[in-house]
Amino acid sequence: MASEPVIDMERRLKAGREYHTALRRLGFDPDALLWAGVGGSDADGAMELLIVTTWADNIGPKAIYDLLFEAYDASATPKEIDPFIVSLFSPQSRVAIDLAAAVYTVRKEVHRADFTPMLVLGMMDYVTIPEWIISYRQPKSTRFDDARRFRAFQTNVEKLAA
Amino acid sequence: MVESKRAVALATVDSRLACREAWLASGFAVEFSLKALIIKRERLNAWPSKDARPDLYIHDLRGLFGAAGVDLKAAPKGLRGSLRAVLDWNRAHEYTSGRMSRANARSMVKAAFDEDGVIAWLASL
Repeated sequence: MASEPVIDMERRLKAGREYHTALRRLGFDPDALLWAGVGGSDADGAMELLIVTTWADNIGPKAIYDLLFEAYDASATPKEIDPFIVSLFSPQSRVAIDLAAAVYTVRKEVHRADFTPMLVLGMMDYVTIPEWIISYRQPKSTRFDDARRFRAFQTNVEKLAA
Repeated sequence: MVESKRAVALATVDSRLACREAWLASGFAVEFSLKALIIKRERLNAWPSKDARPDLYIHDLRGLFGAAGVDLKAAPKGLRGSLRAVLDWNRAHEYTSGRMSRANARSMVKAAFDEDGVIAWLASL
């Protein structure tokens, strides 16, 4: 991953936080949301906004992506974040499991101002650092809850397009 | 090849044990469709050798969409969710052993094989 100019990353973090707020306002509260560089150390600096959600398991990614595009078209989410750079993951995925382990380790470590740990997620595909993790919580949700919340999200997004 | 993957996907998508096979087969079918489109657009009579076209010897769908000259952002609006869903596919997932839900597998099969899904759209280009 090429090094990121600080100003660009600050802008991305701001947009990521706004994206998180917008999704929550619409009724989608992800278990984790973070920026990550794609493709490990050899990639060209491309970045994605990763979302971990139990909805990936209980609803399926396609229906969620459909609504993320609708919300984007309705300007309900920040224009800087095209859903083509948003990636959804199940908490059962390698990326989410690696993220959970990394967050646990980082929280246990004594903070050192001179050291930023590089976190590699999922078969060397993604690289992140703790500062790029916008939100994280242990996923715990039932299929019933997810179905109900997803329907509310769908209704809210569809209202925007109407 | 796409049809054999469709058969595998439809046969396994509702199985708790084997639905990951449906997810994998759907991704392979998209990969084959993209490679067929490359052959068509470049007017090739066969898939080129690795020596001649090392750039085409990839399994990354985003890269193959680029090689096929398909601009994802110019895709029909109603197809974008399906396109984004199939981009989650990675051949490396074949080697993972974690659980996959049937809803996740169904989502990939739908994105790839529906009448208004990615494979039908690629065939129309």
